[in-house]
Amino acid sequence: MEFRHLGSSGLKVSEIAYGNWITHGSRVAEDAAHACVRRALDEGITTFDTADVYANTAAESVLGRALADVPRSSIELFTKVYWPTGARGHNDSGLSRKHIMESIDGSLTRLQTDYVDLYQAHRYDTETPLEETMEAFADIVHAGKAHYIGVSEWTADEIRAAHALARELHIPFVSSQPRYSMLWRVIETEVAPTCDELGIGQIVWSPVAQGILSGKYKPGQAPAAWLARDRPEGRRSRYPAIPSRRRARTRRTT
Amino acid sequence: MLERVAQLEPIAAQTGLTMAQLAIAWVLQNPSVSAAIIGASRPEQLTENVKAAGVKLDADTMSAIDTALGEVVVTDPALTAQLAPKERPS
Repeated sequence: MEFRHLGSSGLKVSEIAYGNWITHGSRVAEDAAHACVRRALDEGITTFDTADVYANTAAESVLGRALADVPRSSIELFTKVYWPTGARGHNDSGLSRKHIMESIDGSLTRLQTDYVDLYQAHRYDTETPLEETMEAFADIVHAGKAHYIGVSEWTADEIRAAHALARELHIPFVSSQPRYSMLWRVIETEVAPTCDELGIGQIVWSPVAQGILSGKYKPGQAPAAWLARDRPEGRRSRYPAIPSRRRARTRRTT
Repeated sequence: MLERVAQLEPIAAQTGLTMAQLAIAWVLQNPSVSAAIIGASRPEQLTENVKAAGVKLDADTMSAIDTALGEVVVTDPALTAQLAPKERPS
């Protein structure tokens, strides 16, 4: 395995990272998930990426159990906050101070760790002042609950604004997590150059375009909702942990 | 689009990589990229796909990929904003 610095930070990551989106806690059984994590470690992968929303928090729990006996300093553990989890109440999503503070503690408990190496804002929250979000992240970093801060699918302007605040607050904002592949190159003209200038590295998701680039779909076959205007994290139906009745109730009240 | 993707097959074969390995190696050629995230439902997929680490693709291979995919490549930078939620999800 080769290692790269995450942006211009001192943190090194395995250039191939293991992510458990749409696998752990949902499509892949617990024992198979553990076998995959074990194999990832055996192959030299040290960087593990998850999110509280994956399988409605179950993915973090699976990863926490799978990594429980691994020396903490030998791996880099990344998670994210923003999408609704848990009871899906009116404050159970976004990047408000309240939701961020509650979410980090939930993630740490599920991951069975005192800190994550990287805490990422899973999307930009249009309803929360960026200052509030970045100050909450700063408190988390200063409390030792996360060492670095990142974002996912933010625009170049949003990244630039957050970086200015991070600098004022003396916290390391070091990463962006966009979808990127041979087929989906939308970061190349704005996000990536801005991040290069600011010392922010790209941790890219879906490099194989959800399997399309593996060649497993033959011409004429319809692949999964590629390019569909959908929640990039997968449709809600992929999160079986949420009872459908609760989902319906939440919807009625919003 | 899948017809275009199928044209990557001989390019992958020529480089001695599977198509998935070629795709992962491709994103790692970009110096802005610190890491490529891969998932797996079986351990064998990891063993296969980590072989993309450290692979260097030459300029001919990179341009052959662009030629093969042609107009199906999505480049519009406005899509980052367009695909983002306009209000906080619940």
